[in-house]
Amino acid sequence: MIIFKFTKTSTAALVSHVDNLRAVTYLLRRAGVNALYSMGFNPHMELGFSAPIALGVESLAEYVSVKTDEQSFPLEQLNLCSPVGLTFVAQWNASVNLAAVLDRAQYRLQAKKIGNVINEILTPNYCISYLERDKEVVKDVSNRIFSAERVDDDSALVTLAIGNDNLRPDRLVLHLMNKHGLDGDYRITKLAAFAGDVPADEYIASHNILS
Amino acid sequence: MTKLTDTVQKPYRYFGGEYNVPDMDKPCDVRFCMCVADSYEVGMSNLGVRILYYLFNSIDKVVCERCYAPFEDYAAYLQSQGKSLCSLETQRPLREFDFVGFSMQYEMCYSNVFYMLELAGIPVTCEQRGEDYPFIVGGGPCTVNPEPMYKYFDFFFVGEGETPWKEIIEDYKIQKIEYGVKKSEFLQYVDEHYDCIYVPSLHPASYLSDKAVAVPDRRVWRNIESDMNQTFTPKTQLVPSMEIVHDRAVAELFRGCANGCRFCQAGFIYRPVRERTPDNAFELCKALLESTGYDELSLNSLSTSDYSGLEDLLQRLYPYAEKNHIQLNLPSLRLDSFKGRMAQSNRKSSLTFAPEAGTQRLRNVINKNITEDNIFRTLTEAFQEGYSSVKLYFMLGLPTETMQDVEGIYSLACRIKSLYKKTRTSAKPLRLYVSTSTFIPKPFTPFQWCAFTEKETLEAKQKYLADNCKKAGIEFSYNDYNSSLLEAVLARGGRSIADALYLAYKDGARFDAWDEYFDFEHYRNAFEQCGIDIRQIVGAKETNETLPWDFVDIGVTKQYFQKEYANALNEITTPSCNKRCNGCGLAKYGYCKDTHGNAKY
Repeated sequence: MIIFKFTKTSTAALVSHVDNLRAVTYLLRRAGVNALYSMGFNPHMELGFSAPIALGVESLAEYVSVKTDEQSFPLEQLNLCSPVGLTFVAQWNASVNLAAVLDRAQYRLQAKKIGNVINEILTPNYCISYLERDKEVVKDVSNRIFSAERVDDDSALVTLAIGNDNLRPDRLVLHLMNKHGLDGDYRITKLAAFAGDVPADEYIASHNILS
Repeated sequence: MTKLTDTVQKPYRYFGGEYNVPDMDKPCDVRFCMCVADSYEVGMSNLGVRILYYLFNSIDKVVCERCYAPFEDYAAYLQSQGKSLCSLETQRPLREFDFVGFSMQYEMCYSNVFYMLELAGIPVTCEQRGEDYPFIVGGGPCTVNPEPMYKYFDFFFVGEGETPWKEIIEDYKIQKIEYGVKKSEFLQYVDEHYDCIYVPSLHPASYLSDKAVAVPDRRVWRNIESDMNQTFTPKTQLVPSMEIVHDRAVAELFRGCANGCRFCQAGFIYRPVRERTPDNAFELCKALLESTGYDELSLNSLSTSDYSGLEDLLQRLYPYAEKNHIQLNLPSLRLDSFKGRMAQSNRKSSLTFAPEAGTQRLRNVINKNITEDNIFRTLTEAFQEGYSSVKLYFMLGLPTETMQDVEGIYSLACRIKSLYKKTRTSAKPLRLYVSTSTFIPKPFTPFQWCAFTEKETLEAKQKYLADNCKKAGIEFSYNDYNSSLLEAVLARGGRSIADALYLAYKDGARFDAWDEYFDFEHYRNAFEQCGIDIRQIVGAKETNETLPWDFVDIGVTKQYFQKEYANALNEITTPSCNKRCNGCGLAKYGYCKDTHGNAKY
């Protein structure tokens, strides 16, 4: 099994998780990665992705595991076959259930004055409110927030839960913007993923398959 | 970017970033924006647009980009940002292009042409645009009757574009660089030099209320590519990162159709049959699959099972597909084709047949040369092999149709049900779908003189089928009358309806092909305001009457249509062009090499 790390930026950030799965399948096929297929009625390429990210969030740290008998694949070849915004940056011959293991992500949040209010999310029993199916929901999300720090007036770094019981960074940003009357556009970039406290790259490298 | 995703659904549609986009940064003298007046998902699936997109981009110093009709959410977003409609690739406003071309695939997209032009800040009529704005040009099947949109397009291209379009763009490039040709000068030039181009502003027509009295004094010839093996064919296609309607590799096996079904406009306006050799087709399939990474392939044409090289091609494709995890799709299979049925699917999903009419008599009228014997033979084998789902397509409102023919649809469905009981091997219950659409008598068919059906008659037939199918456990679906009525008006109308179409758009009409958007009231109001009698437009016509599209020459003669119309009324069938030449008028041009009945030409 090979695990690839890739970035999802520019218009690729506008592609949903399900659509991205197809896009990655096609690009692996174009590149000629000899991936294994599932058995069964509808055979599909055996891929495992790290947890989905919200539409519009750019990411420098997405992961996909590809079941294959090969141990590595030239990244340049993959990048030649990639659509705009998907860029492969690292690979490991490793076996990890990415969606289950990678449970935290660090994001950079950019919005006017967000740096000045970010610290409040560290208060105990911190609640956010958001719209779900046109209903306002108020939820205690304090156990899904692991860190928060101001970078400057207009940007902040946060570490939030991903996967099951995640906290969507766009929800957090919109909550802060609504609450404090912050105006304008905002931008979110996923910088890194973690397995607990261990950076994803390190975690995956430590699960190398010995050839 | 993020605010966009909060207010706009699937924003990827408006920005692209597909794999296989040609070089947009090359030195460029001519910019062409290829538009489809429908959503991204629909427009991206069109093969003609793909061909021209790669054709234009293959020309030195020419860049072609794309644009599709945005949904309301993105239109509102553009307005809130004070932006106008832009191309996908470089986000350039449409008005900055030299050409803005619309692919007119179906009449119901006309309102979206206005919608896109206004979002782009481009005046809709040629007159208002003058010298300042891009050429607004149209192509595609609807241009065989371009008259309803005559005042909105600077010129129309009629027929297949591969060869002439390249020359037209090259000509424009030279004239633009050498002496900054004016729009009016170039229109004059293409009018003189290209017989497949129609510049409506140079050729007046006259009407008495909604009846054409004099059509433009210019014969417009439908361009026909002579050899599919030689004509420009992209060996790749764009791969979008979001799902589109036909999300797969598509290889065109041949153009045209030999069957001559009398209701089918495509069967006449894409004549004659021109096939790729199986070698050429196989290489094309492989190139498409390898360059896109798609795991699904469609072999496309108007009637794939009639392809003379099908067996040869499939023998090579099956092992290739098996080895590379590729699923093969063969649409447009005719009922009487054993080869085709074998190929349709190795999964026992569902069989789709289009008998089109419920009785043999009516099938003879429309020249759908399929017998019930064909149907039952194919189905017996299919049921024995374990198929348990059948879809049947019919048309209602066909010329000479009576209640007996409609009962024939129900009776056929019932007999298929009992056949299943006798021959089934599957444990599943039979799923039987009957779907009816409404027949629209289109220009350049033998039925072009027939009336479009009346509402009461049609709805009585629909109700009969709906009630009976419900009782018998057959799933039944049908078309809304008004949307077919509008399509009939748009297809058969002349210059007299042009103003009303824009009025209807102003009244709110857009995405008319989409049930959830379509509202006939916009058109009813507009037609009323303009004093248009739509019953005259969709009503029966005399065969010697002047028709708005008479100046377009698709190569099939009017005499042939008249003869075919008479044959229809006498229930006489006409064999496929593969069996013999029926003398439609095209043989003399020498394109009919692949219809074996025409070998002597």
